[in-house]
Amino acid sequence: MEDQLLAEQAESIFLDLLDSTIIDVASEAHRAARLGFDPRLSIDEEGEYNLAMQARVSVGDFGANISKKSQHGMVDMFGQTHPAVASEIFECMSCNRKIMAGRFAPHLERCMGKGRRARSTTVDNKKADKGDIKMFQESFENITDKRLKLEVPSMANAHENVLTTKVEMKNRDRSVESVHKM
Amino acid sequence: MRASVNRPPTPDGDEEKAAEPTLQEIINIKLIESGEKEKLKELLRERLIECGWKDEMKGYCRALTRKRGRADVTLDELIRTITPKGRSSVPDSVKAELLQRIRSFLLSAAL
Repeated sequence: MEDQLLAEQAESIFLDLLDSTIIDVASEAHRAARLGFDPRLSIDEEGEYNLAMQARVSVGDFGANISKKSQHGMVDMFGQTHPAVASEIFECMSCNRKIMAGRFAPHLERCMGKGRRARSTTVDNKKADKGDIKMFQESFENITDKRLKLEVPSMANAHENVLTTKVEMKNRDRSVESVHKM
Repeated sequence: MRASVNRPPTPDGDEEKAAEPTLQEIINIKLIESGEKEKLKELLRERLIECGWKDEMKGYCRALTRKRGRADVTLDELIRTITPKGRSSVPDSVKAELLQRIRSFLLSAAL
């Protein structure tokens, strides 16, 4: 492309980009003007209610209808509250004990480390055969509803991701065995 | 005569009248398809923020807003007001950088 045409085209493209930027700035400013720079200008009913309730608590208004949870603001959009620890009880597929869902992860850390051992080193972990992981995964998938079915992400990147906790398989032979028992 | 003989010409005939895409259009398409347009936009935005141009423009917007009133100022007005100011106050270095980059693109796109 000849120099002059090149320059013309470049100039034209630049102006186009600049105009686009200018419009964006104007839009932002316009929006800010209309909303008064306040991102929460439109009144958020529930949010306001929660804030009002919290204010009441801090003032010491005992007459107000406050529940402990909404006080902390832990109400979800349906108005439901959730306990801090999930309380549903089910059976661990490895040791067959009744476990509270909220305590499942730490339980597994110990349980899968075989017996009472709390943790194992990651060195042994790495030695674990990928094949075993697969069987483990398949067994997980076969779990029926009474048991907690966990989302097992792809096993492609090592077993560190299993159950999203630091679950280590110390002695893989043992754990494979227990997996087979399922 | 059969009705079919008097049919209007098929659309094929009309196509030849459509203009060839202009050079501008071709360039634009290449810019967008390659993702370069987006990158250039980002670069321009960044530079204009760095040098305070954006703040300057927002200042003009605020002034206009105060004049017309928050609820009455229109987007159109704002654009019309700051466009001439915006175009003229771009620092030379910023413009040069962008033009340089655009030129490289045009050359590399074998246009």
